[in-house]
Amino acid sequence: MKGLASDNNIYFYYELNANCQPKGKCRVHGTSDALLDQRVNVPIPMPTRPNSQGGSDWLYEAYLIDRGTKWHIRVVDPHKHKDVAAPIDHTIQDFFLPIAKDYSEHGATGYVTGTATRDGVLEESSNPPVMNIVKIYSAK
Amino acid sequence: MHYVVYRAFCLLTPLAIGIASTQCPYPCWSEIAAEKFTYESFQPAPQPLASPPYIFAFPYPSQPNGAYSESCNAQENPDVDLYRYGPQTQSWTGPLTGPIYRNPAYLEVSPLLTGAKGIAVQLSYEGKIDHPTAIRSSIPYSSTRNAVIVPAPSSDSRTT
Repeated sequence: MKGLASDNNIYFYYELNANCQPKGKCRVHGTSDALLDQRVNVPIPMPTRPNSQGGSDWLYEAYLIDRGTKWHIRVVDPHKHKDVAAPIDHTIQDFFLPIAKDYSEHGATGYVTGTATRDGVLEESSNPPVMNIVKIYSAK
Repeated sequence: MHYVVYRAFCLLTPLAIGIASTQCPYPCWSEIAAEKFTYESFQPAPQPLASPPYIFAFPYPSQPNGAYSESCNAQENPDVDLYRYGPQTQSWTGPLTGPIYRNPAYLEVSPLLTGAKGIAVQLSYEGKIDHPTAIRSSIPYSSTRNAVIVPAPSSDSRTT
């Protein structure tokens, strides 16, 4: 999940060879074959109204369905566990399909990380953007 | 004999119901508790506190510069070689063997997970950039906060 300041969306993204830009930075060990950084961002509109308890936090879910060919993406009220909007079924692009199918069958092994990064100068703001995380979940 | 069967049925039925009720259909969500996360920074710094109910609030206090960090090593992933581009010589050098540059970022890292098929984050956003239109048109600039599953071994993929 990724947020971009001021555009009212949260993005679910999947990526192959993350942080391998520019091309040539990452190569297959022992060869000169460059690994290409490929990413798909799926925008999810953030609800503008308060949740059922008056808060501004929402539960954003993404999990594999249809044998790893699609991501099922939902925005859920964190207290009533009801969908806020119609879910998104995103068909996974070919470059990630083998990985997604493997995840669907065996599950992924890895870490969940939370971070904030920026490139370049952080502009002055009278109300600096902040992402507040309440809880993080993984699905099996 | 009937009594024995009846008693067995009475004992097994609650057990079966109990087992059925504890099964968790897909997607079966498990919370990763806040205390399970490890705080990482390439510069020595105390872990910033977030006000409950928030477990993390990004961005953390300013970390203006990146650095070369031993914890972000070019040889972390044996299947991937990393190279560095020299703008002045306009050529690549590598494979690199030592620390690599890490962007200014604090990380919260979960324990190693297995069997994950999805991620969910309960969060809120607040604040804004004062003049987003102007900022977006001025490259380079991006401001992101993310929570992400990264594969293991992670190579340098945690150095967003």
